[in-house]
Amino acid sequence: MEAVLHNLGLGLEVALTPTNMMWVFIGGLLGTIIGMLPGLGPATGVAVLIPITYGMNPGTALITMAAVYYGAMFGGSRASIMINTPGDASAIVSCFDGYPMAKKGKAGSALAISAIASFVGGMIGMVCLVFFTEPVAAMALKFGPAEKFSLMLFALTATITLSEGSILKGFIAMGIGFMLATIGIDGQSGAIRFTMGIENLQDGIDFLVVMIGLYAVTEVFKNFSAMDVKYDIDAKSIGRVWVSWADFKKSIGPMLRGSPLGFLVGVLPGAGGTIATFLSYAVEKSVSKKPAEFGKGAIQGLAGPESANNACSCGALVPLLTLGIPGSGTAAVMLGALMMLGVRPGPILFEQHPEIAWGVIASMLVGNIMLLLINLPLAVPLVRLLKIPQRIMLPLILGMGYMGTYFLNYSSFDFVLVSLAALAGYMLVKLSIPIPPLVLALILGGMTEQSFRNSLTIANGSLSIFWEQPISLGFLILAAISLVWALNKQKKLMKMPSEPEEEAD
Amino acid sequence: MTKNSTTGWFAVVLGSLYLFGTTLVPVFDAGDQVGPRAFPYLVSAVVILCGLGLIVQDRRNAKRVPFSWGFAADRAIWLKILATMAAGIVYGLVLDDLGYLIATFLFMIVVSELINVGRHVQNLVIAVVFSVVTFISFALILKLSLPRGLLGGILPF
Repeated sequence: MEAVLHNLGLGLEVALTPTNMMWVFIGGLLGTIIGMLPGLGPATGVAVLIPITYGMNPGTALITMAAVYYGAMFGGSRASIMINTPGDASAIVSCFDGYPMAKKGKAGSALAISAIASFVGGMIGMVCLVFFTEPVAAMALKFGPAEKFSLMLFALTATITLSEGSILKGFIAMGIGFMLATIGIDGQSGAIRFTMGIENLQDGIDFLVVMIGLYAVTEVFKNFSAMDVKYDIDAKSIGRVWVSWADFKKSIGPMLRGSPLGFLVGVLPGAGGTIATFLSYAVEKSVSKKPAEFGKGAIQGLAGPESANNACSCGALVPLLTLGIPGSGTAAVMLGALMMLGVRPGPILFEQHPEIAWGVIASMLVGNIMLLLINLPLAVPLVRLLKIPQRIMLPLILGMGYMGTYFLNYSSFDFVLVSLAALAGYMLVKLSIPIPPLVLALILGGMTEQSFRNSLTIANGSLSIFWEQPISLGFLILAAISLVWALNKQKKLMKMPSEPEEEAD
Repeated sequence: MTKNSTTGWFAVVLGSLYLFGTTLVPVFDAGDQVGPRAFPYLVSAVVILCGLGLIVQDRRNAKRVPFSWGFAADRAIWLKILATMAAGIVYGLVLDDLGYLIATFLFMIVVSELINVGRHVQNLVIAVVFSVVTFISFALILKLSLPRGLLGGILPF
C-alpha cells in the first residue's frame, strides 16, 4: 500500500506540472469533441492528433493521448442522447435510454448523469489501474521468449474472438497484419524480405502510417456516403444540465457495478467499450425491479454503461503499460506513437521510466475531474458542435491525417502508403474483415516472430518449449478457451433463421 | 459471389502470393537456425487455410446474398475516394518544392471541393485557415521543421 501511494505521489508530481495539466485539458476537450461527432471514435481522435505529440517528451505525449482517449468516452454519448446516433460503437447502448430520456424532456438530466457516470467510471477505473499494474508488470518481467510468444498469441486470438464478425475473417486480418510486419530487412538474419525491389520498403513499413490511413483516412471514406445528414438539435430545449437527488440515488448502484465490470472487460485484449457497455446494460436490466422501463428512458440504463465505458478505457491501459500489448485499437495507436518517441511500453517501463507510467495514471485523476467540469457546464455549447456538418469536418480530418503522415519521416513515399492503406482499409470494411486484429498483428508482428524464433533456437528447434513452460502453457490454454467459446457462439448464431454472419458484420 | 466467398478467394490469392514471396527470401548460414522463412510460411498457411475455410463454409450456406463492391451504384463515392488518394499522393510529391503553406493550401482546396461541393468561399476559408493555423502551430510553436519552398524568401520567420 505504501509503495502504491509513493508511486502515485511520484505520478502526481509529473501530472500536476502546468504543461501536463494544460495538455490534459486540451487532449480531454479535443477527445470529447471528436468522440461526440458521429462516425469518429477515440482511435481516429488519437490518430489525427499524433502530430501534436511530436514536439513533446514521451510522458506528456502519453498523458495527452490518454486524455484524448477517455475524453472521447465522455463525448461519445452526447450524440446518442441528443440525436440517437452514437459517436462511436461503445456509445450505442447510450441511445437505448439516453434518447428516450431526451424525448421526454429530460435531456439535461441525461447529459448530466452521463458525465457524472463517466467520471465515476474513470475514477474507479483509475484506482483499479493503480493496484493492477505493478503486480502484472512484476510478473511480466519474468517472461522468457516462449511466454512472450504465447502471450501475444493469446492477445491476438482474444482480439479476433472478441471482435464482431467471423473468426476466419479475424485470422485473415491477423495474417495481413503479419504480412505487412515482415516487409523489410529481417533483424535476425539480415535477409531482405518482400520489398519487391522498392528501396523505401527496406526499413519496413512504418505502422503509424498504416494506422493513420486506417483510422483517419478510411474513416473519412466511410463517411462519404453520409455527408449531407443534418441533425435537428434544439439546444434550448435541453434545460438545466443537472440531475435530481432521486435520479442520482437510482444511478449509484449501476455506476458502482458498471465501473469494475468495465475495467475487467478493458483489461482483456480486444474486448473494448462495446462489450463493456452491453454487458453493463444487461446486468442492470436483470437486477432491476422494473426491467420493462429499460429502453423507455430508465436512467439506470444510461448510468451503468456510461461508467463501464470509461472504466474500460482505464482497463485497456493495463496490458498496454505493463505488457506492451495494446488492449484496443486506440491503445494500439497510442503504442505506435510512443514507440516513435523512443519509449516501448512494457514491464521495463515501470523500472526505467516510473515517472512516465505513474505520470499517466495520476494524470487520469486530474483529467477526469477536468472533464467533469468541462462536461457539466459546457454540455449545451458542446452539443451545438453537432451542428457542424460532416462536409466541413471531413476535409479537416484528411488534412490532419496527411499532415501527420508527413511529420513521421518527411517522406513523400509515405503519402502513397497512407493512401493505399486507406483504400485497403475501406475495401476490408466492405468485406467485413475486422481492422483491430490487423493493426495488432502489424504492431506485434516483429516481436511475435522474434520470440518465436528465439524460443525455437533455445529449444533446438523443438516446438514443445511452448507447452513445457507452465506460464506459456497457461496462455495457450487461454487462447484455446477463447477460440472454443467463439466457435460455439458462432455455431449458435449459424443455427438462427436469418443470415447471422452478414448481420454480425 | 457472396461476401464470404469473395473474402475467401482474396485470402487464398494473397496467401499464395505471400507464400511465393517467401520462397524468394534468401537464406544465409548466419543468424538463427530457424531462419527468415519459417514465420512467413506459417502466416501464409494460416491465411490460405482460413480463406479455404470461408469458401467451404459459404458453399454450405443455403442463403447466399451476392456481394457487390458498388463500383456502379456508388460510382460517385469511389471516384471521390480515388480523387482524394490522388490528391494525397500529389501533395506528398510537391510539398518540398512548393513549401508547406502553398502545398497544404492546394491540397485542402482540392479535398474540400471534393467533399463540400460548390461552396467555394467556405472551402477557400477552410484551406487558408487550416494551412496557416497548422503552420503557425507546428513550425512556430512546436518548432517542427517544415519546408518554406516558394515562399522561402518572403516569409519573415
